[in-house]
Amino acid sequence: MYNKKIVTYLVAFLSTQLVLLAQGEGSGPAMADLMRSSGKIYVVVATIVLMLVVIIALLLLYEKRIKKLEEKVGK
Amino acid sequence: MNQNNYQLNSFTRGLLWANWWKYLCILLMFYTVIGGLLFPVPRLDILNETIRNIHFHVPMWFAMMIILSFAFGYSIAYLKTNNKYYDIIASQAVNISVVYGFLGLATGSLWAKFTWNDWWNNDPRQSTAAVAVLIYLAYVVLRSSIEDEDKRAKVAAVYKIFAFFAFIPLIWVVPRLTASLHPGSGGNNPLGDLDLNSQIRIVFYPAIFGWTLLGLWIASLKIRFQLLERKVLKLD
Repeated sequence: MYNKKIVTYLVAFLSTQLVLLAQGEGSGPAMADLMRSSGKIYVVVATIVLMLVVIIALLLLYEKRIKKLEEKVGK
Repeated sequence: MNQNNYQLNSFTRGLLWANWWKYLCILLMFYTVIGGLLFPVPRLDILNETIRNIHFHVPMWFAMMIILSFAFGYSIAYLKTNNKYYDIIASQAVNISVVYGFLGLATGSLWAKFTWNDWWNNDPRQSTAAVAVLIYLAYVVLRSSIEDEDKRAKVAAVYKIFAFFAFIPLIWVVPRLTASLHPGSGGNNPLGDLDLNSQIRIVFYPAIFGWTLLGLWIASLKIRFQLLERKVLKLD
């Protein structure tokens, strides 16, 4: 035979937990979901990729120059 | 330039003149940046999105360790064969490692400011890493202070050997033993499942490889330039 009071309190408590059903992407630890959903993360990616392209182009340029010099000096 | 004039072994010739690993480096660096920013990561408090830094800050230290082990090997090779080109290679390897060490300290400090709330936290791993970089910085200063070439090479080689034996315990062993803000402390394995998961690992391990190859590439360009310099100035 269960106590009516306990049931009432239990139902009241559980109904406050209904808020949990409202969870979406934005809950839990805050992440950069806004950046992702608005597509702005791709701007960050593009920026850093551009930097990488320039740095690697420089490295390849030095490779070519040094190789040319090495062939010249080797004669 | 007759590559054989320097009496280098084939591994060294590959390190200086082979191209395949440079293309691999380019591939890995683009993968690191694009995957590091776009792939899903664990959602954690305190770190939030900065967890992506793990692909850039931590590989600095791994790359530094690998390149310093190259320097260690070439120091021993120099002492065994007395071939001064091994000394040149070893010293340029240390130079790029010191740059990586400073980058690691700077990026770590920047990351710490926004997650641990201070530029410097007197964390065991921070302190031992700083000491390790200073040991090799002292090496750079030592090198420039000795005039005679042979003596400089010999002293430098011996210093590098001792420095490596100090470096490895400082950054591999000591930080794991004590409690620390860094992951992988208090006796835990830093690469274990407590601190890494498969989402991170698919970019993290290639990133280490990519950054190491990048450091080796830059070092190899400097070495080749130094070899050219010596030839043109008729020092050889």
